[in-house]
Amino acid sequence: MRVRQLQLQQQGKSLQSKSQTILEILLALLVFSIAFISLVILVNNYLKILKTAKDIIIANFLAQEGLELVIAKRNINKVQRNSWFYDLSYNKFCIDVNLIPQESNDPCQLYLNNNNQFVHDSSGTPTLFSRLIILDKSTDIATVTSMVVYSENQEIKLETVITDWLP
Amino acid sequence: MKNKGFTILEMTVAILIFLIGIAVISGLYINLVKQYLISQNLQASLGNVKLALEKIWREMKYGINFATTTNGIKYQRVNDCANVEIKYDTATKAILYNSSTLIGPNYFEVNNFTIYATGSFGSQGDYNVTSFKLITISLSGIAKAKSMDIPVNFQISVAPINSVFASTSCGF
Repeated sequence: MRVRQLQLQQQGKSLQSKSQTILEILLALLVFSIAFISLVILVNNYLKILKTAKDIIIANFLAQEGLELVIAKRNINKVQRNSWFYDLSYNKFCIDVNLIPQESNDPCQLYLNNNNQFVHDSSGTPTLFSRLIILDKSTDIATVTSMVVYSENQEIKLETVITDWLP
Repeated sequence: MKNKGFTILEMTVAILIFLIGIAVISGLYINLVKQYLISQNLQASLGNVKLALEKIWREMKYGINFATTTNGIKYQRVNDCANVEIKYDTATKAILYNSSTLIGPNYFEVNNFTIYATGSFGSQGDYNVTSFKLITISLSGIAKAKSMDIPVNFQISVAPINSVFASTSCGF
């Protein structure tokens, strides 16, 4: 008789733990969906970051170009037997492949011309990139800083030292 | 009466919700895989072009005897005197390095290739006055990433080290 009572009590207990309601299933699906959607957003962001990586590569090449332009200018001055700073009197300036420096305190925007060259001539298509060269001169040595600013105020700065001798 | 099972209506609703859930999630999953493949391809494409441009830049920095050609530029590598020609092949939309493909249309389709060389100035003394003092390569094209094509413009400029000396020879 006592055993039978226990059995009934146990059955009663197990019957109380009922199965999931539709609400619980929906909630579980919701939690699962949120986790999955966040994963999708993560991958989408990865793609965005890669597109930014493209801009960083271009900005780096353009910053390197800034240094090369000043070096080319110095080389031309040496070959022409001018002062090595001839035509480079400014401390801050913008310069493109046409090798004509223009004084500026802020980075000048770069445009794509008909030959798809990055130049400062504003008749072309505007790009995300702006560039400024900063020249810190002493008598026979100078520090050249090439700064490229691109989308959302990101910037890349490259620096080198040039001398009053070659190369 | 309390211990009854699911009715057929409850089962149908549950299965319906489950199927809708599966449909949405599988759609998202396919999108996820697609995005991942695009990212991988874009990364490979940009990496390859960057590497190729850095190789050209490095060789030109130390190269000598530059001359522009049709759709390209040629020079001598300073370490082994080898002649190199970098050229745009309009038919295959590729950049060739001595006839072999350096930047290929499989991952980057080149639509425009411009070489700009300047700096043959003056007529004096020990300096090399005829060599280019600045060489600029502008490259525009499309980075291929599966179903997504991303337009990119690259530009590299180099002031060759040996462009100022009158008597620079290769092979040292």
